[in-house]
Amino acid sequence: MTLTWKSAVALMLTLSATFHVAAAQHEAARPAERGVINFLTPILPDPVLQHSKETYVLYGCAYCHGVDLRVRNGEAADLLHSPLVRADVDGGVISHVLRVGIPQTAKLSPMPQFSDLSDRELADIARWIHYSKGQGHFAELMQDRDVVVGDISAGKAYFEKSCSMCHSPASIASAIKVVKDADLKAFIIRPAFLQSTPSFDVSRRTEKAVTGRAKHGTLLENYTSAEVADLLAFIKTIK
Amino acid sequence: MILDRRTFGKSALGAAAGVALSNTIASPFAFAMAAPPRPNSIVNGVKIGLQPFCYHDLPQSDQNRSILIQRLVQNGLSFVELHATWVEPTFQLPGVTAEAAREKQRQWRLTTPPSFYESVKKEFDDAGITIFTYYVGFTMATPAGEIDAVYEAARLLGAQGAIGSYGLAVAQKLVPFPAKHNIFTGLHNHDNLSDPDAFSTEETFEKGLAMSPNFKATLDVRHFTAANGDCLKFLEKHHERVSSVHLGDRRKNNGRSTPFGEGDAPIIEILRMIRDNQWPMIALLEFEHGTLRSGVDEVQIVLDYCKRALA
Repeated sequence: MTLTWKSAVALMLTLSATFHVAAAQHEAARPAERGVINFLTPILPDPVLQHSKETYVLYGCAYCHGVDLRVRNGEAADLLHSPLVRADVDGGVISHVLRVGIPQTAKLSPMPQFSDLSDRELADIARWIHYSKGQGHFAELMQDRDVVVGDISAGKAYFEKSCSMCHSPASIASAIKVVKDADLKAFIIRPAFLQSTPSFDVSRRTEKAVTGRAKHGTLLENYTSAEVADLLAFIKTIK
Repeated sequence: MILDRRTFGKSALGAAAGVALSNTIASPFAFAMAAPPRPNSIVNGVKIGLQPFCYHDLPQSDQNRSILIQRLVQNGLSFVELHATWVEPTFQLPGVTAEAAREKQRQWRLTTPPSFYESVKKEFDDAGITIFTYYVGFTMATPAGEIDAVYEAARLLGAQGAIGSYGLAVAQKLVPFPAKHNIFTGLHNHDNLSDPDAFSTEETFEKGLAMSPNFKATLDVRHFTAANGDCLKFLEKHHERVSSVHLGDRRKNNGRSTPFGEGDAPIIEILRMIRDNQWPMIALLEFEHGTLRSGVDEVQIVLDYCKRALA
């Protein structure tokens, strides 16, 4: 999905009130915290991601939005469930919001603008938000008790729409034959390579590898529980 | 030699060391005493305190209050603006709706005995820390009885004032309470220029201060700067109605928070204005800029910056 700047701003303003409610609900679900937070640990094996996290912390994003996107300030937008982050594919929407801020708001304190940051810094912040959203969403999906029984035909349709351009059912069957059923969900929604440090060996940086990582990252951020249930139901039929 | 605000920090390092040393050797017999050193953050007559959410790595909760006190002592800060989250239990627990948590909080505020607040005050007293103000947010939906209980809590904590983030409409609702409890109400600004109810400009402060002689301005210099206000002119004109400044840095035009000296807020000038005029207002360190350091280390850096400004 690609947004123009104008539509991004319109979306941003429309969703402002929604963020507030979502943030309050999210905050209400947080247990009392005791002890000290270390924003920098665990140190990630991927230095690019670690640098992105440090940029996110250094410019104060973590103070309000939380380093793990769990809101620390009740007024802040809940980035883990933000439609705006969901609408962002390449960092363009997030970078634009950072550049202009959200001065028009019903909240006490508007989101400030970060117009003096470099393109690289803005991209780093967007990268961390997407990575952290993927991790947070993965945890939420794994906490689902799978009470929803997946629909095999809906899963097949999802597979054909979102997976078949890269994977055939046979290749999936081959890949998952050694995976235990209990581990299948995690294997499908967060393939192991998403957790590995990307190589800068040019012979391994094929277009397929780069786009595959990006696409699975986007899928991980945005799967719904129903989609996961349907997809799993279908994939179990081809195992 | 012309100093800009960035080089100011380095050039004044020696002065800072002098201030730190003078604090350390205030008593020639300090080395022989078993008790930890009492914090003293009055620098050349200017009281410096902390809004302790500056310890970004320390979640605000009553369970962390003892760590907060340890940190204030470690940083040598003898004044604090205490947010209610450091005092009240956490009611927002998993499985509890926001509405249910809010009701529990309301009941707790109405039923908690004075001895509880007195014991909290004693924790700070024993460490040599003065609770300057008690920070609690109110809304139009907050019942008068609950507001009354919170103001009484502020008084029991030894606070000189109760402050919070709200707009003109809520401020009007608070008019009866400060005189009843012999404390002031602090009006605190943000930089929301789109909401006519918000405290953000000199004009909105003047409207709020006109509501009651017991209302005072808590001038947040970060947000006032971000709202393109002139902090120095505001203080020149309204200093008699200013109880404190929230001291930190931001850039103009709703700009981001920055480390001290990298934004547009005239921090050094404000501190010197307070010092040179011997105004009783307190400077409360408050910042939202991010850091890769620990909360204690970052607070020490901004505190040292202020000490150098006042040397």
